Amino acid sequence: MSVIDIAASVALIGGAALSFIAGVAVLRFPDAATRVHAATKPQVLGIVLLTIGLGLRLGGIAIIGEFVLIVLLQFFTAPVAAHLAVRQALARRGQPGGVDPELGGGVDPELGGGSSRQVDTDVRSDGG
Amino acid sequence: MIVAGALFGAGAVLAAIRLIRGPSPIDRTAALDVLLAIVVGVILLSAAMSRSATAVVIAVVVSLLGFVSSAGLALLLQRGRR
Repeated sequence: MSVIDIAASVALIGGAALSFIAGVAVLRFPDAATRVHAATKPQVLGIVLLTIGLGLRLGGIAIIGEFVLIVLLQFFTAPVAAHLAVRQALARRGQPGGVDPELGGGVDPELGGGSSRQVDTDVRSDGG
Repeated sequence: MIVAGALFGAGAVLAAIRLIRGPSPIDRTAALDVLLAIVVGVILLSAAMSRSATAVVIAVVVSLLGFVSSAGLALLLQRGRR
């Protein structure tokens, strides 16, 4: 068991622990926006840690291109998907399953601070 | 490695409970995101255990599929509200 193996194990277990923490958070957080927030963590940092662990374990140069592809795709796509989901949650503010009105008020200068009807029209005029 | 697998399994069970119980479709979308991230993680973990690089391409495809599914679900919910 060399140093590289130990480092790879630490990275792999760290990524798995992030996935576990995201599972706990998705189950226990109070409303939809916080759940989406927690769901994004293993998608970015967990995948990065697992990719580092796998790269240390494989130990080749040729595979790095695919790792960079995975990490860059996650970096660009995970915030977009989370933003779309949270915008839907914000449009349902106050309804069951939407954002808690106490938590969601005034978060975003464009969307927050208004009544739920105003948020509705914002989202409608925004989306194609 | 066994520790990592157990953590993945426990996280998948918790996300699946939220997927079944979730009060709104957005909660289910979040749980589905976590489940797909766990699938990508298990693929990478199995590749690390067997020291073979062939499964990495599958991880790329599954991560792209996760983005398409969650973004598509969010846009579909938005369309359903109009």
